[in-house]
Amino acid sequence: MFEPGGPRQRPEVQLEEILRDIGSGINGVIRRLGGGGIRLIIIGALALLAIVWLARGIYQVGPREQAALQLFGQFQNIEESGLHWYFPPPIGKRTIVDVEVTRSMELGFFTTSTGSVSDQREEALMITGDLNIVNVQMVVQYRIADLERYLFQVDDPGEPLRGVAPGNPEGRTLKDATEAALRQVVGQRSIDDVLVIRREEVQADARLLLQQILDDYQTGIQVLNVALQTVRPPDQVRAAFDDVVNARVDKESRINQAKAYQQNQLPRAEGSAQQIVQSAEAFKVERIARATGEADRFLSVLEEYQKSKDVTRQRLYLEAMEEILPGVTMFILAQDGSGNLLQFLPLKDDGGTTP
Amino acid sequence: MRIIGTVLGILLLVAVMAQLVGFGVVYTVDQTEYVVVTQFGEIKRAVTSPGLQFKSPVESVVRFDKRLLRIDVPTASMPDKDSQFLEIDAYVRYKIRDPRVFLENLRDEFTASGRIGNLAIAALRSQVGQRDRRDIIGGDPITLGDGTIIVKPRVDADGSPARASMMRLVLDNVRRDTAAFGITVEDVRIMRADFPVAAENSVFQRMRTERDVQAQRLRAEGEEQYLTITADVDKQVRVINANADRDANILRGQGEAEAIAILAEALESDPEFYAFRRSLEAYSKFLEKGTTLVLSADSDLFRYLESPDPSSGE
Repeated sequence: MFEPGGPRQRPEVQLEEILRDIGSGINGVIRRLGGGGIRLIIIGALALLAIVWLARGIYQVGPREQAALQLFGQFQNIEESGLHWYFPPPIGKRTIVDVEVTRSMELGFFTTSTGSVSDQREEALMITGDLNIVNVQMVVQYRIADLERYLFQVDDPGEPLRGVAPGNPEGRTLKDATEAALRQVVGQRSIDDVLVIRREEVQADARLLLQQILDDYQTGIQVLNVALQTVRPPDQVRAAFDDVVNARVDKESRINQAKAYQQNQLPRAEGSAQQIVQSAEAFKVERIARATGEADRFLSVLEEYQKSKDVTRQRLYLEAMEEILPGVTMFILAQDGSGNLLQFLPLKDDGGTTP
Repeated sequence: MRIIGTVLGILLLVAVMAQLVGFGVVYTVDQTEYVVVTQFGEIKRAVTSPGLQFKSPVESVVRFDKRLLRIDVPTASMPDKDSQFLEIDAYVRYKIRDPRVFLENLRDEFTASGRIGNLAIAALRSQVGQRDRRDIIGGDPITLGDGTIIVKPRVDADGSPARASMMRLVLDNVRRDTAAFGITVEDVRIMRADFPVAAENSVFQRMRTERDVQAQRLRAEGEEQYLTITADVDKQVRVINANADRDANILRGQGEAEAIAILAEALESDPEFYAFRRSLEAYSKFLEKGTTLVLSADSDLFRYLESPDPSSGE
């Protein structure tokens, strides 16, 4: 596996020491022992040493790994998975890295090795295009797509205090680029956009910009995914933002009240309208029916009347009078035509007032 | 024996090399390095390709990083053209192009960081000073119909994004200023552009009032909708009622008209008889019990009261 090393890594220091030790050891032995039989033993021992050294050149590259090979510090080639031999140190150097695994970097928060999460307020708080401040936490997932570039193109100072190891572009460089990209994208959007409306767009744009920066730097890193985690207003203004959410709910409920009123009132009105119209309809039918009845009755009576006009007329008249007059107080004037009320005949005296 | 010979040969080579290294004659240059060979402080040559190298024992090597290097420019507070202060935190990425010139001018990476960092701040300061802060963070806010705000990034007269063209100018300036240092500045990038911490509270205050405006607007909109809908309902109810009244009256009128027509048609056949009959009917209704009636004795009714002679009453 790959071990991160600093930019000041100097493999030849190690080489010098080792070679000096071996060299002086061999010389000493040869000087002290000169005989023929012993000479063979020395040669055998040296051969054994040489074989042991050469055997150290055998190495294995796992199925998801690649090995970068360097000869005297100079990059040679990338070896794919399998069993291989290459010059062992100090002549050769091989760096084996898992290039398939999805790595992730956190921005705005920091998960420690024990799993506890601590907020990185300084990273998370950023300014939006409408000059608001928003708290954004994000995770970047990436893999190493180009091992040669990844190892040899970019120096990364790292940031050990925040768990960012120095040496590879996935430390400070990735963090820088992510922060710059996200802040630029958020900085060109309104807080409403970032909080609710265009989250997806923020992610997509940040990813695009981040990949572009990483490509410009030739980091060999491929961004697989950029995922916004918590996006919320800063605690200091939380209440005001919550109130907007509440207001939105209030608005909806007020509209619903109105709709309920609508649902309640309109059918009732339609019903009472129907009632009025139906009653008028009934009135109309009633009137026509009554008129028709009356007309028919009149015509029937008329028919009979016309057969014997005078008699019927007299009869009708007298019948009517018969019916009416008994209830009436009647004064009959004398025939002299003087109009003198003193000459009267009280036809009846059990009803009405006495004049 | 031949294999042993070969092995011995290699070992001998290693031993010789070890000797040479011991004398400081052989050294390696890593893929990520440049080497400048000096002798008693005097620069002899630069080695730019990695691999095994030789030198004389009296020469010494200075190593430089060949990779893309990073300078963390210290956060600086700088005013925009309206004297509004912004906290700019930037970084510079550069590569050593000519290690010899680099060594002569900047000596080492640490010194380089300071010098280039200062130049970057100066370039940023001069560009930020010519800009509206909305060119750097944000843009022009546009309020949509529903009260939400979107931001339109600023563009320069030539149509390119304001921030990008500003940063291009910064990069050009830093490149120009560092041309003699044997380096190539690859990127100057603003990582953070913020308000000064002192201004944070006033920003929060503004955010709160902005939200209050939004909340009130939403509630007012709710009220507006409520009133609009209910007023419309009330109107509809009145229209429905009025229409019903209208239809009812039309129907009643039709009924009455038809009734009149039917009766009139029938009565038309003998109006005198109708008048006679109807009068009798009416008398029976309005001459109630107790009504006092004065009649002439010579009326038709009493014609036979005094004499049965049909002509007596004439």
